Amino acid sequence: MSFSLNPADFVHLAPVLFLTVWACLVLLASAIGGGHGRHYGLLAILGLILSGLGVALSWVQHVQPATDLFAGMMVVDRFALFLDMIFIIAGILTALVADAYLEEHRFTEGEFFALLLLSISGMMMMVHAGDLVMFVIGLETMSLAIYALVASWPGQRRSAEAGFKYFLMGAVASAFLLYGIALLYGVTGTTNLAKLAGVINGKAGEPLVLVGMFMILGAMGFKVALVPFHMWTPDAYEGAPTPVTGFMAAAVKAAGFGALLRLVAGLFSADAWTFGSTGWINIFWVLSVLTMTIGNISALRQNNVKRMLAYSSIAHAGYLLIGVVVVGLDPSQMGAVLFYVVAYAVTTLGAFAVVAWIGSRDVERTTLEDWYGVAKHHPAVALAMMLFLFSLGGLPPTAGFFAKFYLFKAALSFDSPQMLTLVLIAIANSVVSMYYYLRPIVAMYFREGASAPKPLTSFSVYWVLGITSALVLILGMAPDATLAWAAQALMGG
Amino acid sequence: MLTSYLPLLVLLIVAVGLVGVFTILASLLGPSRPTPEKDIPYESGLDPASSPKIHFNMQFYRIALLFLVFDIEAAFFYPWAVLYRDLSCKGQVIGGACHGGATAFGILVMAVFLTILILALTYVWRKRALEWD
Amino acid sequence: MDLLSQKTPLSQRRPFISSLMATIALLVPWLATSVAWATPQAAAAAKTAPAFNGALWTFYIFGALTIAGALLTITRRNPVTAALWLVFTLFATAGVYLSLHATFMAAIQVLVYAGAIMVLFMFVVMMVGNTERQEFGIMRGLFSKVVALGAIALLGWRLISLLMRQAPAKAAMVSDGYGSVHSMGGVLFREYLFPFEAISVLLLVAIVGAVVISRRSTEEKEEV
Repeated sequence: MSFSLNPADFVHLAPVLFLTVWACLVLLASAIGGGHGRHYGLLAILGLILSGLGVALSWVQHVQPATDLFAGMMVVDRFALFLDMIFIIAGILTALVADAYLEEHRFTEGEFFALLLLSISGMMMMVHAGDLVMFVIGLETMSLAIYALVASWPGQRRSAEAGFKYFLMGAVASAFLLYGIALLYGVTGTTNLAKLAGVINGKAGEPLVLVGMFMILGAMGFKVALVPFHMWTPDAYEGAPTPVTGFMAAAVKAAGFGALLRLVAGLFSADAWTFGSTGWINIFWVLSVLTMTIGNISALRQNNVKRMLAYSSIAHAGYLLIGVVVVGLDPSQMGAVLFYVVAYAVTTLGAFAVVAWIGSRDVERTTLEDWYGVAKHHPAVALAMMLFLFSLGGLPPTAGFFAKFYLFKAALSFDSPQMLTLVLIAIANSVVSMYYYLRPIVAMYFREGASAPKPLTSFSVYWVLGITSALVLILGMAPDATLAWAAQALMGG
Repeated sequence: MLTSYLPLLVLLIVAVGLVGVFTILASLLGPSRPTPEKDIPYESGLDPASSPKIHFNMQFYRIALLFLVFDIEAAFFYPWAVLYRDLSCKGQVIGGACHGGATAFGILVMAVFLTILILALTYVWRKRALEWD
Repeated sequence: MDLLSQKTPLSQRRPFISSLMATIALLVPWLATSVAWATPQAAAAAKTAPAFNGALWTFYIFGALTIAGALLTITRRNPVTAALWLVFTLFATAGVYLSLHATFMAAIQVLVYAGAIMVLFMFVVMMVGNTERQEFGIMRGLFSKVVALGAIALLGWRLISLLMRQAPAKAAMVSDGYGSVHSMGGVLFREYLFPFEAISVLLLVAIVGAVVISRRSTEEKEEV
């Protein structure tokens, strides 16, 4: 087998490679320099901005996707670049929140930021993967870094427990993923996504492929917390340091859905695997209904805002599955799904930033009682939180409204009774969800607190709240530009 | 091909068989008169002072985990060492001699891998993760 | 401290025998069905195939040993015994690899899994320390158990009925040196070069993660 290393491949993948190297440098600097985490946060943000510039440049260049980098291992197309941008923005916002949060809760170590960067480069490898082997390595790099971040709160049992639970569930999911990949390899003799898609196209109904497909898709269901596989989510989200929770809800979910979309639209896109009694589209239809309904109903009972937002993230995974079903029916509707991912990522980052903001000195104030009277003392933050909660619920004039609007519009464009039912269930769910999104608002505006909240005072959190609320409003009032970008984010190969 | 592993199989069977036979023989031939004293863990003839079930220091775990990761890295060195001659040759390797000029590819492949490994080692070293406090 | 009462009386070692019997009882149908599946097609193939296929039987034997070891691992109550059965399982898996001509994988399996990973297992078993058995009783969480069993049965039935439709793959002769260090390295350092380098990043994350989660809090350090 001839093999040659093409120097141009490095240029194509420069943003990913740069971020990985930068992450290593941040780690080295924190190991040698020691001291407080603060400088490393700024260093991480600088690296993310530079990598983001590279991604933007690639976006302009890559109208045509490059699909065979490093012997077909990596792919650069606008779909992956669009997701890269989401990870980078989520990373910058998380680093800003973490900067204030870590100082308050006395994490002094710089490797927090190195792990954050490494997890982002794992996500990038995952969505750029042109080969299942690369896909697994990216997924594992991301996951391992996130497990460590979840458990990184020194001396906090809840954090360790959350990391442990997440790790255990993630390890089981990885085992399923690898077994599924092994079965596909066994049938086809290749792990390259494009070649695989070609081979299994001609093997309609092959049982081993079917089993492999469901193992892989089930494993991704674990990663994005779809309902039968969602049990770890509330505990992991609640126990993790809040900036990490926000990052998980925004970036990890975006990466998981990005990978899922690439698998269903790239690998299992043939009719034989999509439709029929053993096709994935039926299963995702059912999972979508289950995920949003159970997510929302469980959220109704929560008095803990962080836990409530965790269940809300499950419900949103259910809405996003509508998008996966839509893409299965018509891959050109990808834009609506990606727009939803962006809107949800920005909103949830803002909401978790508020949760991070309100606690101080080893105490996270996450119950509704803790939120009493916030509006009186901090009207701007209360307003921002109201905005985020409206956006999560899907009310205008916020990002969440247009996200749901475009998604439902895409779903209804097929004129099929199944999609109509799905959208009606989703709308009913949105109405129900408003109840629990309103509860923190009531607590902040209409209840008197026993004592004034003592939130984080660092300015970087206010930056994040400002940026995210601005983005939520921009996406909610002028969504056209982002939607146009999302519509151009097509897959190659 | 696989027949070259036959001695390994024979070794396995002999080892398992020998142990099995002796264990069965011992249980058949040996007298069995259990007394409570015989069930006490042996501690040089003294009565055990405390339960042997104690919590080990976290350090053990950390060292074991680090050992494991470096062990996995070492596994990647075997094929590299075997293939080094091929990887460092532009043309064909025939009879152990390279025809067609040398290339740095072979060394670079492992250099990149090793750099990151050394970075990890530096990190572990600087964080005093290998020290016993 | 009454240590005498802690020692497991010999009479309580009976469960070992019964689980061994249970394992065999589970294995027999597995072997029987695996033979049965092969029968229609195998009958035709048997006329041309050699009478005794050593590699195939090696695979069956080590496969059966692997499953037996795995079942014994998850049914042991004592974590140390379970860990030792896991070693057995891992060795048997190495045998499976060997029968599939994956010689390098077999060697790595013994080195890394049966060697390094088991050391870690033993550390964790020791560190967790408390190996007192906890009795849950059969009735506890009965509903979940029934649901889980039902789900497993359904899934297993679907899986078996699916695989029954699968025509057995035609055996192919592998080329000389297939699965050796040399041939595997040839692929690893050429086509899979990028994943190979990416693995070093993955291992870096693993190392950093291990150090981060095993770190004590600042307060604890001060106490020591």
